[in-house]
Amino acid sequence: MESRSFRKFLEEKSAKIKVERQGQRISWDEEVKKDKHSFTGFLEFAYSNRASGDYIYLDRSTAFDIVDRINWMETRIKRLTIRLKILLLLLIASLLAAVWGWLT
Amino acid sequence: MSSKRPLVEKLREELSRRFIGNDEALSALLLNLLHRKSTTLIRAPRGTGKSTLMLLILKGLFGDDFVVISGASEVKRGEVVGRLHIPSLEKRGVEKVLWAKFVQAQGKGIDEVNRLNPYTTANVYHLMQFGEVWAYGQKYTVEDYTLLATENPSDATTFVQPPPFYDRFDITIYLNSLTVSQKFALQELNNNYGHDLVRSMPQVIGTEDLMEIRREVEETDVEPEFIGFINTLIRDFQVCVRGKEHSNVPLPVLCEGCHFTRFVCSRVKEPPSERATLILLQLAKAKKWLEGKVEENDIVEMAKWVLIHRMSFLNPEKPLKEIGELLEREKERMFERESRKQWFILNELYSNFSPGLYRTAKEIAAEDNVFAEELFFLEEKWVKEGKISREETLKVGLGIE
Repeated sequence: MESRSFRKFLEEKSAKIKVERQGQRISWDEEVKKDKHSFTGFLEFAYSNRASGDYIYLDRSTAFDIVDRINWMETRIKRLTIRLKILLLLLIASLLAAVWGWLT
Repeated sequence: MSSKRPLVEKLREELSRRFIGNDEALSALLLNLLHRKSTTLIRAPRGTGKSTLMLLILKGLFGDDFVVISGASEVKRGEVVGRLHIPSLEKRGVEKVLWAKFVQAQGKGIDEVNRLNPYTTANVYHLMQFGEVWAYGQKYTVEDYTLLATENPSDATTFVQPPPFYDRFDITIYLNSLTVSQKFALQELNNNYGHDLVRSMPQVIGTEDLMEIRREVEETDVEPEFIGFINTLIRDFQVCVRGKEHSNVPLPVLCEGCHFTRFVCSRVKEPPSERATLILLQLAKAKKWLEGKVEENDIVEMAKWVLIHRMSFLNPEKPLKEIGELLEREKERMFERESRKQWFILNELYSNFSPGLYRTAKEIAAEDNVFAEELFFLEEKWVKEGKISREETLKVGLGIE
């Protein structure tokens, strides 16, 4: 339900935000405060040497990117583990063959 | 500046000359006195000064013109509500009611409210709820009053008072026992006042002045931003996308798999009533009237006393600690809301539907159930207007519909 005082609250909150409007497009600057409760973007946290806030926030797309990367790495690790096992088996087999040859 | 403000400062001063420690609780109590039909519950262990504090306040406001009933003694209906005037009944056959002093007095005190019998509790409840009392089919309308009550929650009580009764108290303050240095200070005070702190307390604010103060506080404007802060804060404790209010499934089972479990809603078994919003607003007005300004941090601090007796927690063992933690979380959450500029986005969406902003709003709503509720309203409107399909809505996305 739309109430006048609720709209007034929204308008007051909005009046404090500086935005740039270009036709339908609206953009604004993100200000990062470095106090106790301040938040740091994940990419800033990961790739910058600047001190981060106590909290690190992720937008959904970054979170999905990270999940994708983790999944990709896990698949890669599984493949490499299998290859490593095969190599190890081959090495043991060739060692055994060499020892057998040397003994006979 | 109001000419009456020094009177409240004087009351604070006289109180602090006779009551040691618990400054934060005392400040909340003082603010709560500044609105009409003020009711305060003082909770504390035995011997921490709750009855003394109640009497000091009543004396400071009403001199000797106040009535205190005690749950520890046998309270009769006639002493709390009224009794029949026997001569009128005998001589003229008329049922005339002599209304009790407790009903008529502006200053009312109830000592050990948790030991009141259910009949007296029901009468006091009716007085607080409807501003009237009934006896022998006759009604007495109660004007403005100040009611202070005390209880020791650890005391074994004869009757368990119902939650709606406690909900009628505007605030509940908790008192702590005194530190070593505070004990010294109290002993000095006792010596100074001949071991009768209450008797030495002067009446600081007259009845007319109190009425004028309450009228001025009522007329004090609080900025929409702070009203919004109060409404959002209380809503955070009430909201449940799984319909906790009308569900028989207990917590934490109800919360299993819920997207919003990291919020305070998952730690609140029974949410606060709407009275919490009204009282917090009254306190904000009182704070602004008394100190010239009110800030978000003040509201969070005051919320502790407004909420603590109106909710039941998932972890009820240490209610003060629990509410403190939940309010700390709320501070962070309010900060997140500011960072996301979500109210700005909602305002834009109220003015004009924009697919881009709607997408952003949906992402925000997935992080804020209170914001989500507001977006649901707009979505309903847009669905009716054909701007979006029902399948696109957040409700469907979150699996609520």
